[in-house]
Amino acid sequence: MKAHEQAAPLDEKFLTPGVMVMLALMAVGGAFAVARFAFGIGYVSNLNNQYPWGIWVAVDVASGVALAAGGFTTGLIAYIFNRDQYHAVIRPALLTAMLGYTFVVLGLLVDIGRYWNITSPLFNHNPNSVLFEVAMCVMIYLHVLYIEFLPVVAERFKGKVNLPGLLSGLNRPVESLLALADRFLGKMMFLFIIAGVVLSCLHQSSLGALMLIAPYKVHPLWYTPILPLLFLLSAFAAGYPMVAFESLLVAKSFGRKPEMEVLTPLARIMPVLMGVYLAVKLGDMAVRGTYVYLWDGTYQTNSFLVEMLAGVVFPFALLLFKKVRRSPGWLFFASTLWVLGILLNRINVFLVSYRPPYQIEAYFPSVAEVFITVGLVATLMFLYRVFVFIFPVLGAQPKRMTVAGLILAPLALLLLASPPALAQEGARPKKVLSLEGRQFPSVGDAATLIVLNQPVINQYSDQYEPVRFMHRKHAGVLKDCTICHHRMPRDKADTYGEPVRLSQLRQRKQKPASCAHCHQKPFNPRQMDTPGLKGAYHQLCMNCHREADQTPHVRGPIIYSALARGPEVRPLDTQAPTDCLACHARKVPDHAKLVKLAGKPDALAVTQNCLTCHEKEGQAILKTAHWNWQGASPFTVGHEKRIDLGKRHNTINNFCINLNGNWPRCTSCHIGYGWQDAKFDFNDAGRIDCLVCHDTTGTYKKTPTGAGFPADKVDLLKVAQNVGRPSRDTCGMNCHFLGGGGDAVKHGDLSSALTHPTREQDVHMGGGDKGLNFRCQDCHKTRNHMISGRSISVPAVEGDLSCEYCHTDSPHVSGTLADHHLNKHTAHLACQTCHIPVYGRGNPTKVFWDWSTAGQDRPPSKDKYGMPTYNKMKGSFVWAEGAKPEYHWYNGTVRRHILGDRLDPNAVTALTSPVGGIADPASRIYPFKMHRGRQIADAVHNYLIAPKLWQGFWKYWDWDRAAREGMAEAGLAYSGKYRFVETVMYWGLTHEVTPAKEALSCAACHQSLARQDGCLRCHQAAPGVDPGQMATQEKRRDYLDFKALGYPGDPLEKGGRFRSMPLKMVVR
Amino acid sequence: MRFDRRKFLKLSTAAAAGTMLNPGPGQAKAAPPGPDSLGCLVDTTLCVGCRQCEAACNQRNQLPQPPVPFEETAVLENERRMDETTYTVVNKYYPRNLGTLTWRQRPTFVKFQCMHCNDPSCVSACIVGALTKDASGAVVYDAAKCIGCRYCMVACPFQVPAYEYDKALTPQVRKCTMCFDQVKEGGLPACAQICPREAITFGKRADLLRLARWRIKNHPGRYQDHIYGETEVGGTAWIYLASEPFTDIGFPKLAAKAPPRLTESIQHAVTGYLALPLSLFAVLGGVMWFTGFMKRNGDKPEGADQVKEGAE
Repeated sequence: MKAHEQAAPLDEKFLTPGVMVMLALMAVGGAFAVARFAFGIGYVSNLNNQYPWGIWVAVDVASGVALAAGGFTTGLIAYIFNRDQYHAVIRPALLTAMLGYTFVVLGLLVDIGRYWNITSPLFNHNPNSVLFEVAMCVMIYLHVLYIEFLPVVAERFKGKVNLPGLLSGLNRPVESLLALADRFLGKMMFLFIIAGVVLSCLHQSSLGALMLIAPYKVHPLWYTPILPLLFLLSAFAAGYPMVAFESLLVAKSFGRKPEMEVLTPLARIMPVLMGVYLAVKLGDMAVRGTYVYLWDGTYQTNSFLVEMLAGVVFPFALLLFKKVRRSPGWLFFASTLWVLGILLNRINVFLVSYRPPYQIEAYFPSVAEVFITVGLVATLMFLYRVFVFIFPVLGAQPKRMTVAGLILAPLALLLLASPPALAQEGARPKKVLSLEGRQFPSVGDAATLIVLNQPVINQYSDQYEPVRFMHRKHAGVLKDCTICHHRMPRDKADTYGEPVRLSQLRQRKQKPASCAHCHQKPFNPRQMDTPGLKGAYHQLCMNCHREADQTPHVRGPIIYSALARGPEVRPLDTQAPTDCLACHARKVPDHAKLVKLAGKPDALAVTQNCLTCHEKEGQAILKTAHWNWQGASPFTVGHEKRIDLGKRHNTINNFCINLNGNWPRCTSCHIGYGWQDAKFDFNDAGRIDCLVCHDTTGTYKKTPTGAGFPADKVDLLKVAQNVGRPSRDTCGMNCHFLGGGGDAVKHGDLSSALTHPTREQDVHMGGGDKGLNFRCQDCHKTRNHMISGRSISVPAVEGDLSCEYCHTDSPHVSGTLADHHLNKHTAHLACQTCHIPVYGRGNPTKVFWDWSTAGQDRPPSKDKYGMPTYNKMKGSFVWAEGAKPEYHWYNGTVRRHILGDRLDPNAVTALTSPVGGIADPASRIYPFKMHRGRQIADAVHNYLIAPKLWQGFWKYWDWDRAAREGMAEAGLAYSGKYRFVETVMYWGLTHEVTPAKEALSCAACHQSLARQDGCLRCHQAAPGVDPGQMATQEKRRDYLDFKALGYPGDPLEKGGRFRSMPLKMVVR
Repeated sequence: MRFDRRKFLKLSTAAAAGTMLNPGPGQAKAAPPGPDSLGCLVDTTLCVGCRQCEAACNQRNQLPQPPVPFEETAVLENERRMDETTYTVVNKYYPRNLGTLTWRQRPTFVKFQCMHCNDPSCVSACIVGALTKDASGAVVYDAAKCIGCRYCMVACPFQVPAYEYDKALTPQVRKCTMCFDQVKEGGLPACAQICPREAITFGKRADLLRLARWRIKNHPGRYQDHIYGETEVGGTAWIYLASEPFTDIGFPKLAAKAPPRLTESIQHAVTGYLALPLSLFAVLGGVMWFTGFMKRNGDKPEGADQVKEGAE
């Protein structure tokens, strides 16, 4: 190996302002590096899952390797081609390569997440991995570079080793080691030089092959199968410009004479190598036709244009000129351009060209990433300086130094430019949808008949209640078993089966096979097309429900039936549910662990605790009729567009008449706390009474006069820790069974008897073996705490409900002749008419209330049911038990008398009354409990008075004062003269549905059928069938007064409302 | 420096053997998936976006609870991707053309997770073989080998592997494991097990392909006549059926050729048996010897050259 006789360590001032700047940058970069190693890559960088590689790879590693190419290219020309004149630039190039590769590895340590495992590739080989090859080559090449540099070290220290203090004993061994290394390496160095070139060729090209694995992410302008070749050629072409750049820079910064006698010949080779690279690159572009992208104008194509024009074509063209090659300034300019072009090329290939298929966040290097990179470069330059000061690297021409900050300036510029760019990236709008302010359904209940009790479902039974599948309801709706029971096995081992036919089943008196017969474990390799049981259920159920979701008429023309029909025809509100929770009720978690309240909490503290988790639910409550006691009244004639009708202010009944002035007493049934007067804040979720509906202990009771506050004796903590779904106890016994101030007072079909009814009392709520044991919400479907269902006495509506929603308008499904006739009734009769033949079945209900007798000191009296008939506070009553309803036409809309409406002094005032008539096709005959009363009215203004009873009449026993104070609260004039007028309210009957055998039979209404030969006039008697039997067994007669309803007589004989009946002809 | 040729060759061979780790014989082609290779068929027409699979996956893999609970289906309104705490996501894609009242009007829900390619780019890319394609079909990650270079993330055409950037010491690449541990013992992937609609069918890939073709054939008009993953990037263990064009529902359009075929062929051409590097080593050695010989035997050419350069 040829020695560098003229090379010597520099001997001048080490610390200059430029060095200070470098040290500062190193310190900043070091600080960021510390942060990266202490807190992770994510803490300092903008790298993300879309952009796993950033500038640490593109600049520190890829560009670092490319720009360290000076080492092997000078080695190639100086040693392998034996051109001795280039020896002058060998050592600086070698030093640059050595430091460059060292910093490639350091940059890699920063970038890889498990840097402590960097030796893993030594033990775990993946020969298929391009990166593995790169890593191996770089690792070996780094050591080769160290070995190549050893002679320089030996030259510097041979014979001068003088270790301090205790280590001085090692002087001799180190000395002899150096001598040995020098002697041995002198002979062997050529091997390492060749190895260095081979290794460089390998990994320089393989760096390009790295991105070939991602053909769909790299922009086609860069992605080409010959990318490795391009990388190799560009590395070759980068070597000499890098040497020239560095040499001229060093000359400038150390104030030395530029080594033009070496650089100019080198510059002659440069355009050759550049030209080859340019030709191959352009040729590749032409062959692959990627030039079509050139003018796309995106940041990617623009970056490509800059790279090619400013970084390749321009320096190539410049270097064709002799003047450029011979002038230090021009050569520096052209070399710099080329070096920057290669830098940009590597950044382009690894960063700019990279388009992740799913880009959610963009990538721009963070300040920390930039500073760590800059810090590494500064360290590299600093160490270069240290090395040239210690070791004989540069030619021995010591001069004064000038600016080292020449390189630092562009870096500083880059840094200055990055913050606004970062801000821009941050401002990029992310497509994020706010979840706030949106309400989502959480219907948590479903009615069923068959409990789907399967292992798959039981696996999650700690979360969900079992599905109660209403099998008969579905059968009634679909009326075709084969839709679900599509195939059944012909014998036991049959797994293919035959299609189910109803006639066949009937003939064989056979039940269709259950779902589980064929559908069992999923993914059976022998019948991949047969879903497992879970899949079969969900696919079948949800396919149908999703269809039903889009076709409002799926359950027949019942939208024309009375309760489903509003002011305008519209699709049903309750459709087949498709959300999970509608079928799978989620179990309420044990709140004993969740509710943590110290001491004896008051009601408001409990609500606050509830709201910490259930804020959404709290907000939902604020919109409900149960909270507001008013709401939209689309079915009240004349008030269809109003949203404020309700007992909060303006409706009147003939029980306790009106809310105004009577708040603390009346609002003890409100689902809130402290509605004492008209100033109650309906926007304060903190006043919601969650417990009155969600209590499961049965101990929660409100104080009757407490404005909604619970009784003192209630253990609120215990109640709060045992909350659950509402039940008949909470809905009923806390409120609705006790409407009107006592058990069964208001509703003829709701009483405490329904808390635990038998099936005979109520087919839906009844318990026992055959009972369905429905909870209220099984029918009154709830969304966002809005509860469906309508009452003629309540104007606010939060969803329709009628029998037909489940039973359809052809509810009699057994296919017998009787059912055929019964189904013809549904257009004219409500289900309730036959199936609720009497009301007040559980407890006596009030049917008459005379306020005019109140205030007298009469002795209390009781009627035959043991119910009081007189009360000083309220007047006299009449009770009824097991009473026959009154029947009226009803089309679902209501006429309502509200506060301030004028009344006819000579007539009975109907506070609520059904709208309908015999000529209205949408009207049907409904049963009603009539509640009649006598109540106070203004004798002059002719409207009903809202008297102040609580703390009013009940205190002073003075109607005039009660009327004055009450009307003042209500905001209406009071003339000073009052009298008592007769009023009536219609109360619909929909609960306490009797079993079918208790329902009205044909003969109960149709007198003509009571004759033995009624049916047999048209129908032949069949064996075992006796059409007359029903008529003879029926004890009830003339149940419907046809004439009162507008018929000329029994429609069977006199003709129906829209067409004549066959029997009419026969009778005539 | 004076060497004879014999000594030179001996030394160069020794150096090559000493410095290069032998990458071993190259494989020209990745082994096709075995007949028992497993996979999943996702029928996106069955998926209703309930996110049960996400919840089950989260539970099975003991991933952290997300800030928004799994019951919340509003998150489907944004296109999401898997990340280091989520191995699978369901996305919702609205149909491009709102047409008549058919089931096609509904959005398509697509479950994404690692596709477990037959010829996985990540496995080919991984520097240390931390990612491997198991015989079961699963692409499995071994954190002990990993150095955290994230080349797998660059390589993956589906952008699946995610990285724990926020861990300082032991960040891992996180992605769907196809519930490898359970599947090995005859179990099911958590998502396939939980899916209420059985939109995910688990089984041998060959069976799944047959099932997919059967479904397309037996439900005319319901499916696109394309099984995504049958051929894409050499085929994937997870295959998809859909009613909409796959490019409309978040799938990248990919060719049948697996990217590793290109890189590995280049790689093995260059490094296979170290033939090329050793040849280059020998050639360069020859050149060096020759130019040295020329230099020693006649200073003239070199001197002339120098004069010529200097005269420029």
